[in-house]
Amino acid sequence: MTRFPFLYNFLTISILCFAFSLKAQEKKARIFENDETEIWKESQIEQRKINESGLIYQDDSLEAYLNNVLIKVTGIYPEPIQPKIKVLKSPVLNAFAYPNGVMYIHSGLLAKMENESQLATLLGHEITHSTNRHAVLAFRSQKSNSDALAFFSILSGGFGLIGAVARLIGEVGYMASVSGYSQELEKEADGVGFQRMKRSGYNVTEAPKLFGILKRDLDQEPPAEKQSFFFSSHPKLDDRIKNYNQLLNNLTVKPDSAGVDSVFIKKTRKLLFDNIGIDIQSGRYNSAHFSSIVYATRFPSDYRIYLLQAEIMNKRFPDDSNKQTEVMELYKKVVDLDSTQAEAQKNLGKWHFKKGDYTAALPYLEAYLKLSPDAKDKGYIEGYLRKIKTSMDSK
Amino acid sequence: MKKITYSLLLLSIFLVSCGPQWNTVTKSVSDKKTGAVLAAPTGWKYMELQNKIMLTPDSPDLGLLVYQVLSVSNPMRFTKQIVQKNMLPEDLAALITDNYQLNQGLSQFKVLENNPEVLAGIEGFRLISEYKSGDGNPMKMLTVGISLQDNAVILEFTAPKRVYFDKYKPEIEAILSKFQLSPDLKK
Repeated sequence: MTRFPFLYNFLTISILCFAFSLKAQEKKARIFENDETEIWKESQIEQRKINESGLIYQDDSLEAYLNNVLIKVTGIYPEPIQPKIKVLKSPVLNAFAYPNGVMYIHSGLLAKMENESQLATLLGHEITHSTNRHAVLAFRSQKSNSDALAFFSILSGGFGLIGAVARLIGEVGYMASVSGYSQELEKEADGVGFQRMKRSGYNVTEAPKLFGILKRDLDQEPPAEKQSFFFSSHPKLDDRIKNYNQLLNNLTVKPDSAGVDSVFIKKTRKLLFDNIGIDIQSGRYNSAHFSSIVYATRFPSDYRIYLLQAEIMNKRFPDDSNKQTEVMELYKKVVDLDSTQAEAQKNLGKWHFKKGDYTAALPYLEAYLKLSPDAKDKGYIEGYLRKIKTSMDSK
Repeated sequence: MKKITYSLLLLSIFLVSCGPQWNTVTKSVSDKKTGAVLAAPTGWKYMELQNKIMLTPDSPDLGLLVYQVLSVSNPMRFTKQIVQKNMLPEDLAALITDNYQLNQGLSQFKVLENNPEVLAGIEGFRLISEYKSGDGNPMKMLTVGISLQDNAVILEFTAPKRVYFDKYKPEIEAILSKFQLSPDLKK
């Protein structure tokens, strides 16, 4: 070849040009019509509102990981789609993608997943809505979603974080996150998504499992929150399970189940923990309870989970004396594990104080102030200590 | 067609006149159910709603004091957590804060101060917070609350952060210092 440098260079350049032209053809594939341009503009407006709402969950490492998985699943995509994932601080089981490839996953849904293959199932399904132009197809067949959207906003008005998301999404987000697309388009998203995850080397047996987990978790939620979002609806989850099982049955070689996915577990650790807090804040104690069991199993040496478990039990069963004893034992477990854990000392002190056992409360509350001299709730604790000492002095 | 329009107009006027109305404070305002007494200045306006009394020095947009009684076992509007019997003051404050944080109408909600407070002789909490209203106006809020056997009593004053919160705060502090509860409720 060195004898023909010209030919060598010519061939190399030709191959590169050919490759670039193929890539360019793929990238040029999308030509917008007027209505699609409008849908994209609307999507960007809705995304700006969501991004500025304060509902975005901040975890750079997790976001980078999710976006890597998304790129792996998506493969080649037509210009100008730019796949990108953001996580929403919302306890509900949902995710939705805009036509431009921007996807929002609710922390509640991500917290229920067990491995990367399940994540790839969701991403494969959602990104297909963007790459296969489902939004514009749906808008053309269904003139207006405004009435349904208005109805949904009213319904979701009082649901805290759920309502907060509902208020932010407009017509495009409504279709992507609430009503979903037609059965055919959803089936196409299942099928293309399945092929995408298979091609990327993910374990496809996890696909129906994901929706089975969501269905199980849905039954733990308050009735008012069911049916609000696409992935929080029994019939839609049943459709997904049926479609993915059918796709699995069509395979000639069936893979084994996925094993423990340590990378996924590590990357989603903080989110799983934080979402338990979001569940508690939203009064979703059952969901918080089950997630806390998962977290405690994965990370048994993280004492903070026992504090959360105690908080959940305390709120779920305020008047059950047996459960209240368990609450106290959980606090005690943390103090015994590490006596420098200020929160545990405080909660144990408060628990005894509430029961009127001032003698038992005193050392824990004092220990808390010693460990956290600048605590934000110092004023309250000092008040309890004053009350304890006054009571003791009067005896 | 004209008849229908006319009937609808009359119906709307009727419905509006039947609804709760703003009244002028002449002496003080009391809650018949709980026996609570709010010594608001003469000339302020008040409106009685179910489990709630609203007072305003001028206009609700420029300053609104809401007195409300939360029953135990009822989930809060936004958090779905429930008020428990005899909650510790800081726990009640945390519950109220969670409810504010999940309220879609209070964007960029932030707690500035959270301290113990005594209201009607009972130990409670005092929160000072700020947020942006739906139309983007910076608002400031003072919330004082106490936990009782079967209820929690919450007093919440909201006003635009600029000018009005500080303008009405001395009068609000006076109302809080004179606030009384019925002896039955205190049990």
